[in-house]
Amino acid sequence: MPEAPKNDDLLTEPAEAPPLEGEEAEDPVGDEPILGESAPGQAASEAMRSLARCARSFLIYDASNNAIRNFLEEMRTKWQWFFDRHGDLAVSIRPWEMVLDGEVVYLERDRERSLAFRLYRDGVRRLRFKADTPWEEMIRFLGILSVRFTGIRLQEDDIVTLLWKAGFQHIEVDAVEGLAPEDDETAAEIAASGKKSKAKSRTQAVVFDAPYQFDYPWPKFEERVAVALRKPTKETLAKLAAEDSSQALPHQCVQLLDEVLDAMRDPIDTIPLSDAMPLIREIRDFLLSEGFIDALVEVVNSINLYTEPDDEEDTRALLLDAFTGELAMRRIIQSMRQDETEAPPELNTLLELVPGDHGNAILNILAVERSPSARAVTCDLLRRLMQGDVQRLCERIRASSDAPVTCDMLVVLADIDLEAAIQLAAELVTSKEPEIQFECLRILEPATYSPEIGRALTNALTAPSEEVRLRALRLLVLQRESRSFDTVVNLIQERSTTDLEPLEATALGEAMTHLNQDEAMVLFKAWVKPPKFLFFFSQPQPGQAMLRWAAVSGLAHVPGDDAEKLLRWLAKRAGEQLYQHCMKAIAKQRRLEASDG
Amino acid sequence: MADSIIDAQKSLGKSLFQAGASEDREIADYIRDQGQRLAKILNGLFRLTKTHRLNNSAFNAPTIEFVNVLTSLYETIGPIHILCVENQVYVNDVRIRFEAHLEHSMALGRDLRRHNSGGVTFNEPLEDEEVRIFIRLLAADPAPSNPRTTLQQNLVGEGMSSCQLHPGYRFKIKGDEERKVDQDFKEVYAQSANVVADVFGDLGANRLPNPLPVRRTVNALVDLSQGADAARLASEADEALPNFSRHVMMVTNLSILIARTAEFSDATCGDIGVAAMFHDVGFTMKEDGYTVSYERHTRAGLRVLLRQRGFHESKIRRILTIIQHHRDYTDSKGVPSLYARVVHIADDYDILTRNRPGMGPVLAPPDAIARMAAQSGKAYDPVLLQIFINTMGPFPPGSMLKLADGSLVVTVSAVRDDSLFDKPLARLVRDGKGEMAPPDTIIDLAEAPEVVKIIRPTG
Repeated sequence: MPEAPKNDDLLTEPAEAPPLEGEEAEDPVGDEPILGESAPGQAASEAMRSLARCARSFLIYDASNNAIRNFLEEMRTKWQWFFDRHGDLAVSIRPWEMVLDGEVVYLERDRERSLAFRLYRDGVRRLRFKADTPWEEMIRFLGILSVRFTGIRLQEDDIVTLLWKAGFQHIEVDAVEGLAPEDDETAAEIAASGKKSKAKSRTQAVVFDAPYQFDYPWPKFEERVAVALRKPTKETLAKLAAEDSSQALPHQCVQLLDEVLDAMRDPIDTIPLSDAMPLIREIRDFLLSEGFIDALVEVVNSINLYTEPDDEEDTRALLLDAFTGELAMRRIIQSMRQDETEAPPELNTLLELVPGDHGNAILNILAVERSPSARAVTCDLLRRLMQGDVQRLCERIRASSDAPVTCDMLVVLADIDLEAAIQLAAELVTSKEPEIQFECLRILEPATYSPEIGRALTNALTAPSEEVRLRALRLLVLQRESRSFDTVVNLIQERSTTDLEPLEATALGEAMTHLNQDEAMVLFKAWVKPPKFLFFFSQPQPGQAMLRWAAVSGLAHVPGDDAEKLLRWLAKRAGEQLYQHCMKAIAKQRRLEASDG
Repeated sequence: MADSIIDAQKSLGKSLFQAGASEDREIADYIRDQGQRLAKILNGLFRLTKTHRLNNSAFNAPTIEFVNVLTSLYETIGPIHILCVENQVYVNDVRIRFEAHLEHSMALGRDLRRHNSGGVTFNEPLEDEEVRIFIRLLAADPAPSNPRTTLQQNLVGEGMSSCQLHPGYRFKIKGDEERKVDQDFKEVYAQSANVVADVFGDLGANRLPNPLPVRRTVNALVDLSQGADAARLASEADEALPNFSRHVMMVTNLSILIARTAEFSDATCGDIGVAAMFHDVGFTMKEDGYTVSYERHTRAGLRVLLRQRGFHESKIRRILTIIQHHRDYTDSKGVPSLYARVVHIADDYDILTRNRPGMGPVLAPPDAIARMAAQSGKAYDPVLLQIFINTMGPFPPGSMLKLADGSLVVTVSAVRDDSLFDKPLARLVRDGKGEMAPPDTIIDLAEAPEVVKIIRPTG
């Protein structure tokens, strides 16, 4: 007799029953109607609705998604509301409905969406949640429901087994636990089935009648001792139980891999790599996804111990690649805590144990990883791995077309070899990506003067980003690159008629003073007080407002009466904004003089 | 507050990941597709009998298709079980969906129910002609009395004993009726032998491992063994089982017993039970037509279970058990895994004490347990062995003892209470005068003369 199904097939299936007339397909997470006439009924309806929505939400959202967080918060509120006001919640499960004391509190006829239908099909017939059900227990219950909703076919546990295993203390589940015979003919058969345990088919006959040696050789113990009752302590039992905890699992995975690797090298009874590989991959995925790097280090040690380096089939290389290749590394990095910014020492140990070049793999990971912590950890690894290979890092930076990746690599390069980074930054500061230009300028900031850097910074003055231009300008001033004076002047003059804004005009004017005060002073005079014939007989020149603004900014840094006279002269003739600017410049100039004095 | 939501998200994410990792999508899809096809064709064939004569060529194509699908499924997963319960159709536990109307799924159930049957198992693939016979017999009017038995006899008469009809069933809900623990335990124990046979038969035929039926059976045993004298019940139920099943079941039962006494959770007891069920699975393998030798059976077991896909912690621990269950506690390769240490004790105890036709047990149970006790910390985990001893006592069930008054008894209970550690219940075989005792005369050794001799039956 076959094992009777206790529950559903545990497969995802499309809806069997068509929706009710007039009913339209909804999104998988949307709500069921709120039902119930009584206060407890309505509260139960809201609670069940929130539970159903949470369970369904994993169909479209990742567990870490904010939407899930909102659903969970809603669920907790609704359930707590019910528990606080109405105590225990007990519902009967029908194919489409849940019923609380004769009142339908949940109704959903779409089989894909219906929590009632899923539960019913899984064999659940009644649920009782005690009012003091802890949140943690509710979440475990939700976890089981969610597995069903996401359509995972479980091979080790069916839904009833999962509920059984969960051992809920506050949630009672009445579920189908088997099949009962319906008639006498059946009953007679069942009663006799134990007695008739004989082969039902040829296959079984082979099993039953085979000359097994299963009980041979039996243990031969000569010594005997008197047995006595000795109760193990609680601590001893707890220690045993700990061996079955999830914390013990990584070690057991390593233990099993050792056994499999041992079997793979047995010359008489060899397990081929192809047979073992699926299990090895499953274990690898588990260890990687959970971030058990200690265990991975053990695995790599085992691989090195149990396999030969020059094996014809490259077993060692294949296995090591499975555990420390790019994919593996990526999973390890993804499994790290969100606040992690440095590679843990175990990860460095892991890489050290595996010969070969990991730099490319890590660079590839950096190119695709987006989470800030993963990128930080990857950069940290690169700092160590690329120490002796700056040239390759430079090549990757040059070839990179992704600004954030380029910037991260530039940061790493600067940490490893500042000189090389400065050289590359001078090259890349002309990039079209402001993010890269800005990073390059950051790297160039501490650099000592060189014509190359001067040229690079001067080129950056024409960058599309104002932020970049301003920074470049500041660096040029710091570098005292007087050769860029003409460029600065040209920029002011050209852009004064187009897009020059006061902020940048200020910076440019100040830069002129710092780069070449004498020449700047000549120009400032011309901009503030144009030649008389122009002044009296013509309209203001295009761009003059910005030229004056820049001049005022520059004059603020020029000590002496000439500069102040110019500023005062202009202030008398200026509009409100320029007047204020002049006054501030005068004040600044005085402070400057005072500090110099 | 927010933290507990974030923790909940993490916990749910982990649950989903673990469930997903344990899935073998390939086999799941295969069974779903082929199982659905099979049930639908069978349903179609039944419906066809309502409108066409059986010799009509309309039967040709679906019959051939049925033969092909059944053969293909059989080669992958072994015997095919089709069950109809409450308008639902299952193929080897996979619920089949009839997309058109619920009516279609009910039709198959109705056709079987006419014969008072709820399902059928195909233990072997069928030939084209056999499919037609099967359909003909099922389409015929049912016998007025015992219709299913009659139909089964008719199938056997046609040489189709591999088609096995099942009774109709309804879902049994927890709490439906009060349990009769003893009776249920023996029933489950006996039925488990069939599960063992099915699973081992499939594995021996190189099919894919399916631990789910085994797990359900073991879970039932775990439930039923709570508060019951499982050691006694198992030894009573044991007698009805075939040889190898007896061993597998007894090792399973004793392993669960140790786990329960060690106060492991029900879930752990279940996992250990499943591991114990599979511990000798290597013996299902053949090498050059012969069963693998004892020396190679653990490696063979590893080969068998490597075929199961999907990560699951139970699977990891189960495979370790298969590989390590003969290893000593002090093995040079390191201390074996927890499950392996449990199964090692149960396995050795059964090997030493199981009755062998013509020679009796290798050792009398009290002798076996005393010798195993001497191996504490050497062959066996000292704590687990002590737990086993605490459960079984110095006179485990099945011990034949001579008492001071000359009477002969066989113990029938394990340790009932700490204060009665060496005083189990026993069945009186002969009284002090050498007279045969009436059947089922149970005496309490706490109130009987002292034990003076342990007797080893000789077959």
